[in-house]
Order: sequence, then structure tokens, then C-alpha cells
Amino acid sequence: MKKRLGLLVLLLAFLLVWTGGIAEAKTLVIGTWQEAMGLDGRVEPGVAEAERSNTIMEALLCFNHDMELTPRLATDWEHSDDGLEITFYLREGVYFHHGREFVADDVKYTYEWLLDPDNEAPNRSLYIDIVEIEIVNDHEIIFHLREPNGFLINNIARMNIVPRDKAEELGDEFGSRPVGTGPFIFDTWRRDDRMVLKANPDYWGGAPKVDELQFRVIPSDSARLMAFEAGEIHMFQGGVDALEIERLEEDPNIVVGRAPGPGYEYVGFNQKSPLMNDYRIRQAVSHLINREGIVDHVLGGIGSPAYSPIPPMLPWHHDGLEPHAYDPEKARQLLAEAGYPDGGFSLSLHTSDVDHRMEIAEILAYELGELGVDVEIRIEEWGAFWDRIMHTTDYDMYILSWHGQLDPDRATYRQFHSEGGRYDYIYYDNARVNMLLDEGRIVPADSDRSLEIYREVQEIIYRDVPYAFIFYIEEIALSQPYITGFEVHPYHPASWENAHLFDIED
Amino acid sequence: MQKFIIRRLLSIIPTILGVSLVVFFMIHLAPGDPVTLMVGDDATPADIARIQAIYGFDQPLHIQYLRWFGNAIQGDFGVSIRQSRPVMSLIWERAGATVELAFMGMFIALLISIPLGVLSAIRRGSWIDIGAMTLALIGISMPRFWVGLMLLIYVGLNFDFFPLFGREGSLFGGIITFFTTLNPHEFITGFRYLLLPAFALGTAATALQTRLMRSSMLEVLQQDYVRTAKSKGLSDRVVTFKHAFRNALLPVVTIVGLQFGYLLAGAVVVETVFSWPGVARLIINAVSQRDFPIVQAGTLLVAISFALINLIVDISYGFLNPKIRYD
Repeated sequence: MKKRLGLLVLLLAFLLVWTGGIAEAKTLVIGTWQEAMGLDGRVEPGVAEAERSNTIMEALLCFNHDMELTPRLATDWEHSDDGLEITFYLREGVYFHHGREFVADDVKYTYEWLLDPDNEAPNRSLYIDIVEIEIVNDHEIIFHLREPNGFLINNIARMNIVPRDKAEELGDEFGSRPVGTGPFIFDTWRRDDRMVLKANPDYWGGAPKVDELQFRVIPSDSARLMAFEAGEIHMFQGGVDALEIERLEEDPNIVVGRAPGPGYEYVGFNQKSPLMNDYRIRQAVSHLINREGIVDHVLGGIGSPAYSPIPPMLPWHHDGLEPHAYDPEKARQLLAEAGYPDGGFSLSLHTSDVDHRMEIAEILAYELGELGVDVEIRIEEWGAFWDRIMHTTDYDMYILSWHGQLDPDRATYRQFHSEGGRYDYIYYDNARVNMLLDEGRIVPADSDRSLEIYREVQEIIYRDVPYAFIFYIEEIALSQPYITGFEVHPYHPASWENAHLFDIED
Repeated sequence: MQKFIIRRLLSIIPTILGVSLVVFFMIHLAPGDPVTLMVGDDATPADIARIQAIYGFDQPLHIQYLRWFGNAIQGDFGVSIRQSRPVMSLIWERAGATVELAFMGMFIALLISIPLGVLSAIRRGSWIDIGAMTLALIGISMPRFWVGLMLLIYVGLNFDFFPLFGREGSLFGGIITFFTTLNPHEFITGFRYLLLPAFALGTAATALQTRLMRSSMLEVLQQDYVRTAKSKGLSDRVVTFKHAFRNALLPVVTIVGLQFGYLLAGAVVVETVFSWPGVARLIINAVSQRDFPIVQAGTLLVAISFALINLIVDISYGFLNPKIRYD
């Protein structure tokens, strides 16, 4: 008995010991839904990767909260009159984390590496118009282009500069322990658990206000929200349960940040399917989408009804249009005009296992069912779904999204140009659209002609309905009330790039 | 005994071959390929074809298999496609977390199920029996992710002792530290992080083993030799624990080996709910990215450890029942 009592005392002693605290450094903890594969933006272009690496490394330019280009490692830039040269003036007195000064040669190295076909850079084609990079001096560099490309600059704003010496020394390993010029210095990384970054006291934009930044991976949406509400993480962006939004917004102890994002979700119509080749059937489907209802009830109010591929925040967005109205009667008429007054045909509708997409698919199948159209919903795991729309034509309709539509070319060329490359999985072919999109690439981005071109494109798309747009996405971020300096960024990869301004108040 | 172990070890070889074949062809024949998933939004078809050639995905499947298997038996499981790091080091980094989780889950299951099962059998029809069997039925029926979420909501959120996610330190490491330096800190930290996920993982096993223990015990208690023992005038206690219990334990031990398989499978869910940085999550993420080398090596190692655990279970029979011979 005595022995047991001793054991109990020992156990109690244990319980007491764990509470013993240690002097804490100021650590900012950011929750994320997914682990990064690597931190080298040249080989890993995904959001999970960029939201981390953008705190360590920097690009020449970046997007501010209004999605305008702003200086980062370049203090200024200019296009030549013929549009064939872009000159960048680089920031002076900027040092990489290993102590060497940032110079024009690092920019040259980064882009030449990217453009070298042997390096397998997945985004190489985005920069393919760069034919030569000329160093004027350590702080001035000229990109020579094959042909004018008014939107290349947006892609330059997405590519972080790596230091030549470290990138060459580390090779493939660079993505596992990157070195940059950013506000935080890479420290340790236990994959699927946490990444620890230390403050860069010499950061050119001012030393961070916290000592340490941690990224913690919490894959389950519910568990992440719980960890946030319990105060174990300070902030996170994305993956907030639609059913919880109302409650969270009413809670005075939670700061809910919302910002319309540059993307949308849509129903795509495979025009190699004989039925979907008829624009009246496509229009009918679009008139069966209750966009308001979907935003309010499926998405918990996150997002807004969509009607064009160019997101509302861009100057090229056509604000004279409005969403196709939810109008089953009109849809019935359109089907009748197409020769199917009582429906009587069947369609397949594909998507991956994302909750709200599955719900939207069910709603759409019901609406079409009411008009006598039999819809077979097929939900597939992401890789299989992706493979289907990328490599087969075995589908009539699918639900998917586009993100990061940072300029009108990116938002239309790949999607609607008949030679738009591998993303043309609707097989849309409209000679006028092709012509306009080709022209849009060459005219200066800030010209009136550019605005006209994309206005007309949006009008044609609106009538032709190669996509039925469902909703514009909205970025949503939660932060603790004692976190200052944070504002939700519409472009998720840029969420934490100003983390040196974030502070934890006592 | 030695002969038996060697024979069993040899019999693992065809199992491994079979598993490796099935896994290899399943993951390669499934729609979706790693390169398309990897390259993001802007790669051209030519870029993709080139990258596929670099990884050898343009070769016929049987050549790819033979090449992989040839390297694997020399201990080279290749490099992860997405993480550009050797697969073995990725797995070893996380193996401890999953092994600890599975063992703790099993430990909790045995700790609860054996006494409860025995008690239910001896007090058959009592409220303990009825309560235990009801709980067991509920335990088997509850999905693990739900158990995990409920534990987080009702235990994690209410008691600061239990963290809501992640893993800090190692319980096994902490035990060693405690015995060498008498510092319990690491042990307690490891325990705090491990307890809820292990409990969630072990629920179904606990329930199943409780039922099994009870029925096995009931069966043994009706055997002739137990009646004989009783009629000799031995006390209930001696009869139950000395004569009946050891024999009743045999089916439970058998199932323990198999249960480890279920625990490793269940770890996928539990590791996701509790953000536990283990092998199961590594493998499941690799499946969705079609990171073939990780999937192949990971499942193979899980299969090997499953086979080895069952071998250990078979050997342990001998200690429980001296009648069992291994030749």
C-alpha cells in the first residue's frame, strides 16, 4: 500500500513539473492547412510553399493589398517605348541572410536558372519571353524580351530571387534550407509538424517585431479552428468552415479578416461533347445556378456571385455585366430551342472531393433533373479528377476554380484561347476571342486599347458561356485580437510577406 | 524455436514481394501522375514530357518495377519526387511518432480491455457486464475521426494539460531520459501530446478486445478442468487467475497482432485529426501527390513491420501455453 501511495505522489509531482515555464521568446505562430513540399519558388509554385517562402525570400516587386505592383527588391522599374526592354533599379544595401550583399548578378542567376530547360522549372513558360538579361551595374539590370509582353511584370512579382552562391552550393537542397533577403531567416523544419524561422534583425524594411515565426501544419479544418480558439495558434488564412463564419464574426475575441480574392469557381463545359457544344444548353445550365443561394447557404456568405473571368479588383473587369439570373423557366425555353423541350438526355458532372463543390454539384443535378435532364455526378479523388480533365475528353461538365488571376491575360488566355495550352479542357474555339487575346498580349497594359480588348472578350464569353461562373472567391483569415499589423491579403501567397510588421501585444 | 523463427522470417519474403507488386501497380495504374500534379499552373505539355523522362516514367511499367525493386533490395528506396530527399530519411524522421502512437494505442487498449473483459465474464449479467458490453458496442461503432474530434472538444479544450495538436518530444525518449537523469519533463511532455491521439486510435481495439476477452473467459470458465479445479476446493481467485485467465488470453493475443494492422491503418485518420507528424500522413499525402517512391517504400515498411509484429505474437504463445510447440 505504501508503495502505491509513493507512486501516486510521484505521479502528482510529475503533473506539477510540466507547468514549470521557461522564459519565452516572442513567437508568432501561424497555422496552415498543408505542408510545403519545398521552399524554392523556382521549382515549387504552390500556395502552401509560397506563403512560407515569401517570408524568407523576396521578389523584385510585390502586390500590395490593393493588388497593385509595389517595389520590393527593385526600387523602380520601367518599360522601354518599344516594349522590348524592362529596366529594374535594385535596392542598395540589402544583404542575404548569409551576409553577402544582394546584387544584379543574383537576379540574372535566378532567371537564367529558371529559363534553362535542364532545370525542370515548372513555370518556365511564363518567363519564356525573356531572351537576355543584361547587367548594367550591381544595381541596375535590363531584361530583353523577344516580343512586347505587358503582363510579364506580374509574373516577375511572383518569383523570389535566390543568392547565386548559396543556390549553387546547395543545389536540390536549397528548397529544404533556403537563404534569402526577407524579414525572417530559415532555422529548422520538421515536416508535417513545424517550420521555425528567426527574425532577421538587419532586414532592410525594419527588424521584425517578434523574435520567431513558426508555421504549424494542422490539416483538419475543425482541429485548426479549435487550436486557434484555444489560443495555440495566432492566425491562419483559408479553410474556415462555412457553418462557423457567423458565430466567429460575432465573437469579439476573434478578428475575422475578409478580402475578395483574385479567383472564381465555375462549371466548365467540354465542347467536344456534342450536347455541350450547343451554346443554348450551356446558357440553360448557367440559368439554373442559383448563385446568391449558393453563396449564402453553401458558402456561409464567403464569396460573391460571378459573371466574368476577370476578377472585380482588376481595372479590366467589366462591371456593366451581371450574373446570369437564376431562371428555370428561361432555362426550359433554352432547352426547347435546342430541341429538348422535355429534357430527355443525360450529362455527366465531375468534380473532386471538396465539400462545397459536391454540394453545388448536387444542387445543379437537382435543377437539371427538374427539367428532365438526368445528371450523373462523379466525385473523384483530386489526382484522378485532374487526370480526367487534363488527359481525356470523357466528361460533359466539371466544377473547378481558378486562383491567382493577377492580370487579364492570365485570366483568359489559357482558358479561352484555342491554343491556350494544356488548360484548354473545354475546347472552346472562337476566332474573335483568339484574335483579341493575341492582341491583348502585345498592346501596352496601361492603354485604353487594352481595356477595350478585355471588355469585348468578357462580353463574348458572357454570351457564349464556355464557363458558367459560379462565385468569386473571398479570402478569409482569422487572427487573435492581440495581434497587430496584420491585414488579410487578397492574394494568399502574399499573406505573411509583411510578417515583420506583425506584433503580439501583451 | 530457432527453426521456427527462421522459417517464419523466410515466409515473410513472398509476402513482401506480393505487397510490393500490388502497391507498385496500383499506384502506377491509378489515374493521375506526379509530374502533372507537381508542375502547377503554367507548364507546357513538352515540359511535362521532359520531366517525366527524367524520372523514368516514360519507361514500360515492368521495367520501372524491376528497376525500383532492384534498388530497394539494396536498401536504396529512391528519392521523393516532390521533396527531393531520400525516401528512407523522410520515413525514419516520422517512424518514431507512428510507432509510439500505435504502441500507446495498443497499450491503452490492453490496459482497459483485459481487466474489463475478465470482470464482465466473472460477473456475467451484472451491471458491470452490461455497461462494459454497451460501451464496447459504442466503441466499435464510432468512427475514429469523430472520437478524435470529441476528445479535442471535450477534453482538449477543457484541460490545458492536453494540447490540441502536434507532437513535442518523444515518450519513449522521455522514459529513457527519466531513468538516466531522473528528469521527468520530457516524459511528461511526450505523454501529454500522445495520450489523446493514442486513446482515439485505441478505442476500437479496446472495444473489440474487451468483447473477445469476455467471451474467451466465459468459454474457459465452463471447461472441465476449471470445474475440476473448483471441486478440488481451490478458491475462485486461484481458479480464475491461475487456471482460466492464461488460457483465455490466447485468442486476445492472437488478435493483438492483427489489431496492429488496423491501428496502422487508423493512424492515417488520427494523425490528420491531431496533426500528428507520423508516417501515415506522409504516405497518404504522397498518395494524393502520386509521389510513388514514398508510397512504395512506406507501404512496404508497414507491411514488414506488420509481419514482424505477428511473428512476435506467435512466439509469445509459447509463454502462455507451454503445450504449443514450434516445429
